[in-house]
Amino acid sequence: MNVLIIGSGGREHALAWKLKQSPLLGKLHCIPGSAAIAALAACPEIGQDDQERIYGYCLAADIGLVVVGPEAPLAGGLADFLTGKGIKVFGPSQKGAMLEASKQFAKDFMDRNGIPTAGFAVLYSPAAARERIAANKKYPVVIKADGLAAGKGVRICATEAEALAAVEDFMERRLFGAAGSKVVLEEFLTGREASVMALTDGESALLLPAARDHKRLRDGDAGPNTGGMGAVCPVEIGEADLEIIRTEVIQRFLDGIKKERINFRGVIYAGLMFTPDGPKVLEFNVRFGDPETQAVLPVLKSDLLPALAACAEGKLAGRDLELTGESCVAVVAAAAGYPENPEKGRPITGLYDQAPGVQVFHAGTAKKDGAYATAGGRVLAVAACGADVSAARERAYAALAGIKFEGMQYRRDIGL
Amino acid sequence: MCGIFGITDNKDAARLAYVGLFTLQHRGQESAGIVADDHGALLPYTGMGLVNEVFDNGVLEKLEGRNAIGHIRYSTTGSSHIKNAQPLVLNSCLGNVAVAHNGNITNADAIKTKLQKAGAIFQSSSDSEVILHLAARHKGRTLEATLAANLPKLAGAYAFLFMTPGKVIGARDPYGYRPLVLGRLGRSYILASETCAIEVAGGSVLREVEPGEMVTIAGGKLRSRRFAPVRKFTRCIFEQVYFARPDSVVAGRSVQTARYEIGAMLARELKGVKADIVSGVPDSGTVYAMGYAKESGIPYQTVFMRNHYTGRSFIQPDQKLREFTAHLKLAPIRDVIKGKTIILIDDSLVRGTTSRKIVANLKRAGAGKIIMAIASPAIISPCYFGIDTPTKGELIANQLSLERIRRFVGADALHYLGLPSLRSACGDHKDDNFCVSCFTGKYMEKL
Repeated sequence: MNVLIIGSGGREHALAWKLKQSPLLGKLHCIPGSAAIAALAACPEIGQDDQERIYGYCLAADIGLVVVGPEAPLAGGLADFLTGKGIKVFGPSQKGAMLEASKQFAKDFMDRNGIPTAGFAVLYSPAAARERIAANKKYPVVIKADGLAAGKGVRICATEAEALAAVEDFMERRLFGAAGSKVVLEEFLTGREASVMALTDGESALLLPAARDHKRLRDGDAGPNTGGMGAVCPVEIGEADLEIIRTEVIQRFLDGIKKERINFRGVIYAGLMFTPDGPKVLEFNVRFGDPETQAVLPVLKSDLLPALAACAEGKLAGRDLELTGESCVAVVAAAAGYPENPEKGRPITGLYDQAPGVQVFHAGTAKKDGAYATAGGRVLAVAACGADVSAARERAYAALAGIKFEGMQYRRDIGL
Repeated sequence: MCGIFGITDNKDAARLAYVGLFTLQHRGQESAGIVADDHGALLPYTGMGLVNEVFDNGVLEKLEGRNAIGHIRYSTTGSSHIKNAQPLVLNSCLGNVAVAHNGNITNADAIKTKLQKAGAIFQSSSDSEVILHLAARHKGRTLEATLAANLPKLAGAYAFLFMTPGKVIGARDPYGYRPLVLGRLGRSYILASETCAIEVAGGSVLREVEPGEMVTIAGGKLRSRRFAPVRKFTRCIFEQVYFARPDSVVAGRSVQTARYEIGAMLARELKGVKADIVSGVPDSGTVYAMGYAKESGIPYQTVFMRNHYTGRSFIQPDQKLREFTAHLKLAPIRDVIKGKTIILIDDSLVRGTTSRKIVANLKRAGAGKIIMAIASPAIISPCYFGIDTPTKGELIANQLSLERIRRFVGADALHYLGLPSLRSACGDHKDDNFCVSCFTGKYMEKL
């Protein structure tokens, strides 16, 4: 089967690496791809938002399965467009992508379907928001802009004044444009976070091992929020919590999408908070997490391709995934200046000849005169497997020590 | 589209004009004409058909004079009739003036109506005549002065050649939509639509006439003046894609090189697509296919034998005639085609009717999968600047989605070149060197 991956980041590099191992794979393609992905897949120069030309390419290259990496093409309706023309797609419909693209839609969906989540109110005008804040007794409180705001649309407000400022920024000053047309006011939860991804064909679901990512730039969860500085997989989850995730999160999600006729063949990512009252959903994503995927795929023993194809074909029931039993730690190396103003064009050395069990997944690199150089904020992730987390961690950092570029920054506490 | 050629100070002026027009024949086959400056009498000879059908030794011998301008026509504005053949000659208070025009004057009708109300009588139905009437009405002392004052009143695209006794003038519209180049042959100057005409006539290319520039050649001397402020070039990018001859140089690179590069760009856009052979729709598709083959490593093969003697289907103005000739002129080479997956490249997909015939032709010959790759983006908007893509209704990409175009054409897959790829292959790095209105629907001026 010829497969086309959509995307160009570290997640897609990891997907390409995993799919490339499948004996069922014919030719691998990736749009738009990257210099690193080009070593594994043909990367035609077509934009990932160019639906018509992607479709034309699918016909030309006999693509049997399209795997969509990032959320933007999904929110743009790529899966609907291609499936409507008979192309098999791993990735949810535009309406399914709303679970990520609109926090209001996601929260209401969870509410309607009894999925455990933080208490919340959706507020449609600044006046209503102020009124609700005036009545709020419990601080801190979380205020979220409804739409996609590059990770900056969530504020944890310690006081009423901060909450009012968030409302003003999102709804009146429109710092994130239409994303702030409504806001969600949410109860502040405490506990440890983890994420669970599940492959689904809309009927049944197959859980991937839980992972934990590290959002803050610096050690000890300090510094600004980032796209993620590292991830660990698997993360131990108690049997009771796991049962809740299975029955109250994933099963109710499946019941919800069926009831609401949402076409969802892809991966549902639940960002979870393990509170004293049990796990609660912080957010849904509708695609593989980045960098979680870079830590999850290396511990997957099974061939991923038939599982993804089964999702796209609606034939997931009865399938299982086998794990290697190892742990994986993925450490992200970011460019100087990240996240505000990352430096680009710095040569990278030490990328080749990694030890067995170590993978380097490129996120923001480009080839310059035949050699890799930095080309983005998060440059790469080193993913290493080991018998347990500490063994994996040791190998990851040993490998990372051999990779160098000017201004490289990474956390030293991933997996601790 | 049309082709123009002018030459000064040469005892063989008419014969060289004949050679120049013959070289520019690809730019139009409806009519041809030459006017020579025979001691002040401007003697025109025009006829319907190809250059070598219109002219023979006898005719050329009678076209005496040291200056001559010529024209080959492909009808854009005005009907297909000998009255519209150019050069046009008008007797006015300024003396005799001849004009040859390549382009399309978008406000010709408005100007014409105004002039007719003032008593002007038009000989032709083409848009090219209006400038002569405007010039005739102006009270300036020289033809250059009257032209400089009146050319700015014209909207649209033009490359003009004018001739009066003892003088040849070339002018290019302020955007430089249509091409006009200047060359030298001994003591003669040459003005032509493309560099290939200058070279085939034995001359060497000096430079392009600039947008808004008027050059006058009189008494063996060249003078230049501007009638519009200096602007960046907005060359028609379709010249490179379809019209210009591969040995012509446009924007500093040969059309052959640009098309080869476009073919390579297509291969990069379709990287990973497997096929047995890559081929082009003759003739202009061939070089794209060669560029594609080089980039992709997929072998080039000729799938059609083209009969060269039927004329270009794109150029003939009637749809019925076009369909018939498309059928007639391409003969498939069966054993090359049979059972093969073919990447087939054509320069453009305008109405879709020609591509449909070609694909059906290949399928009948036993082709397996046909992946149609178009060496230009989808044409969604008409050209008002001289290319015959008349109405939105006739542009298939304006009417149908990519998938429906693919089905109409009958190909197994269809891909259009991306606009950024086209721009970069044509040598444009600042995004402002070319007119790409037909691909974007955005125009430089309000129409």
